[in-house]
Amino acid sequence: MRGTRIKLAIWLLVLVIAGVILWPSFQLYVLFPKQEKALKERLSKAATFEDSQAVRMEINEFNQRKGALYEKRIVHLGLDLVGGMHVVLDVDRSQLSEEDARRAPDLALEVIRNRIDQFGVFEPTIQKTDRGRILVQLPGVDRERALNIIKQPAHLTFHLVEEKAKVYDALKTVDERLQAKAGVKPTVDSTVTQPLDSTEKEAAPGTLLSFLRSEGDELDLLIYAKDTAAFRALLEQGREFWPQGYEFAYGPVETVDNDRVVRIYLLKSEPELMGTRLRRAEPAIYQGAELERANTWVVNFELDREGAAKFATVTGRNVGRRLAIVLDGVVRSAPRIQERIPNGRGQITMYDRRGDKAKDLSIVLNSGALPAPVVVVEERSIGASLGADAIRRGLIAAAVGALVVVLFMLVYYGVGGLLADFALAVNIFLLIAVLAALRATLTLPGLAGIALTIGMAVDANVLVFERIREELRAGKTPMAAVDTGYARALVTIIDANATTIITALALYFIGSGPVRGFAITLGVGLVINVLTAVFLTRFIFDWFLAQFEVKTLRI
Amino acid sequence: MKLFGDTNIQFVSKRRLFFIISACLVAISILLIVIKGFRYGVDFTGGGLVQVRFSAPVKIDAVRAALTAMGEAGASIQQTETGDFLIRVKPSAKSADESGFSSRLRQQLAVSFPDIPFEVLRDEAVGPRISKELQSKVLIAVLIGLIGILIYVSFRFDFRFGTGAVLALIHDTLITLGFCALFNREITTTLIAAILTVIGYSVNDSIVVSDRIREAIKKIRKESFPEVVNRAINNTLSRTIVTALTTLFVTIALLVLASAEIRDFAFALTVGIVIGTYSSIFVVANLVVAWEQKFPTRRRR
Repeated sequence: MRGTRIKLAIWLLVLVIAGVILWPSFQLYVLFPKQEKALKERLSKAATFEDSQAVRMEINEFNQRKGALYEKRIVHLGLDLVGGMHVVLDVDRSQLSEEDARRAPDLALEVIRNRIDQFGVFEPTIQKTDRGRILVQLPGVDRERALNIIKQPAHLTFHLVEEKAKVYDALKTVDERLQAKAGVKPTVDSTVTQPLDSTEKEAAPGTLLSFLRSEGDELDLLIYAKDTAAFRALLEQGREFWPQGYEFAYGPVETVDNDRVVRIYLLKSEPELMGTRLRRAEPAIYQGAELERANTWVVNFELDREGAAKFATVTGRNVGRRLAIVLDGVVRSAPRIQERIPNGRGQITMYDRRGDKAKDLSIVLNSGALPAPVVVVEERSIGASLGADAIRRGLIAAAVGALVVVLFMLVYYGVGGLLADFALAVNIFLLIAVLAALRATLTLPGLAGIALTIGMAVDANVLVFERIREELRAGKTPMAAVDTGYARALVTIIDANATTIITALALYFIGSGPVRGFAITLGVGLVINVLTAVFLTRFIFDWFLAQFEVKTLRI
Repeated sequence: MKLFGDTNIQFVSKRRLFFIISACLVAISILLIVIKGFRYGVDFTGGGLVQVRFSAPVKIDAVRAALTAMGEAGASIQQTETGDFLIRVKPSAKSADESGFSSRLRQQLAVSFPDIPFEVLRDEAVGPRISKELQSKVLIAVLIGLIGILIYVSFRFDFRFGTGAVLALIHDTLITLGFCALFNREITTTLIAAILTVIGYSVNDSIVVSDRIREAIKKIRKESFPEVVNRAINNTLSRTIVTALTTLFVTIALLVLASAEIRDFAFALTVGIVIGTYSSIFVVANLVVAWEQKFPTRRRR
């Protein structure tokens, strides 16, 4: 019986190794959630400040241990099970030189990775895929905030601003030229006689001036937020008539006297300074004198040395003028320069009372600007509760399916069925261990794949058992029947599983995400299945027959 | 326990009947696919899908009004059995960014239903270029899978069995797809994965029967070819049914108990396995017999 001992030792070794591989996954998905719940409960029950501090320390330490587990070989759960954001980004390289276009995806990836690191996400995936696209997977995040952080180009520039009267004149010029171009004489209307000095209150309909809110504020012209698109479209039509060297720009939507309005600016096209010279940015509460802005957040920034020097020169030379802080084409604010600013410090107004936007903008500014705009070309995001539902019902379905199979095998094949069920258990155990060793991601179809393997896994044993039954019917001894049964069934088992494994391979190499998860579990499951059916049950069968000197076998 | 002991059912002599049944099923399936067509998922059509769950009941008309207000009157709205709304839009021609629709929809719903909190359960958006790439990827996966199986079958079996297995595979796939069209199942990449699995399973089943026929041909020399084949089918009948049953237990459990996202997948598997089992018992070997009788390859003593 030396052969038996060695075989037994090998199988035990395999099981122990699988157990060791599975331990971190077991900790992460079974033990840790309970501990986490207990800790949270203790935190909510903590009576004194000291108590809660102590629990917080423990939670910190706990989170570190949890984070460390992700470094190990574990089964990862797909976003369709835990919920989260999955987007594929394309870097818009149309405006870049050939050289820049080549580098853009890597640069963008680096910037996005920086941003997400600072945003703080457990287990993010940020990687380049084919055609220079970038895949970003973030488990359990607020989609809107995350998208904003990823996509924001974060181009910060500083431009000198023209005064209100000049903006008005410029708009009027554009109006007149546009109408002249369209063949309408500017001051003559066929039915209504216009007063000669047409003010903003009585501008001809359909002109830029007609959009202006009758009461601007002291500094800027305003339009209603709802008209922005129409106004913008009209203004773009007349782009050729804009003052040379200047650009029109808009502020964010804000509330003035209960109206939602947008400011209109005329900026020098050439920026005085670029925000690439930023040393750091951080969120803070507005400290200034304007009452409306009390309790809102701002982002304070500081330029690097060179930037600060340039800022000092610009501000020193233009005292009394206004300097616009422009972020991604939107004028965040345009304060009047009171005096030369030597230290390179400035502030971006946020109109944000919760602080999220200020925090996010700081992250984005600190991580640098994207080399080019990025667009989402594919998205598959799952809400957390849908993921939780999917995993719960998926597990129940798999468990029920497995249970029925196990019971059926017991009833149908008796002892043999017990053996097949044991092999099945080993099968699933090894399958999950291999998934952990491969750091594979378990998706919902992957879970279905495991369930399917359960159904198919017994096939190999069924083939063998049916063969043994036949041999027994033909009058062979149990030993001989088992021998012939296995020998005859082996070819068929390999033939039969080979085709499904080929399908799984095709799915793995071509498929993506969920489908790939399915391919992995199905393929690996079937390979393990052949091994356990052929070697493990065979080994146990032989041992069983020898041990008890079985004379008659009923399966 | 035994469901099938020593059966001796005459599968082969009644083969004309089974051929007619199969031919009808295939013809109906092709008609369904051509006339009714498939409902393709976002993967293949491109565009967006947003699944929204409100915390209180909301009328579908109210959701439609909200969509109209945001200029998306063309969106299709569907309510699931759990009361969620599935909102689908075609790919936007205006913007290359596919995340925009969902973001705008969230803003609009917050305005239209200020008092009813909602949760977005799912966002799917596939740009036109990606959906084209997905289509070709899936096509390649199916072709590679099929070619791989064909190579394996032709390498392991002679031409007759190979042809039988491949015909059965086409038969199973067409009928499964026909059922998907009939029951309006959505064609997604996951469903295609299920179809490929069915193909693998179908060939697997055919192989088991063919293996047995080959073995029997060598052993039993006094019986005629049809008799040998019939015996082989009977011998493997128990295994064929038991394996189909255990696999069906699982796919039916998934179909009934698992969440909606996996249901179409489980549906295709269930139908495919039933059809695959039928074809491996009633069709594959009979094709070989029909072939053998039309063009006898060797004289058997």
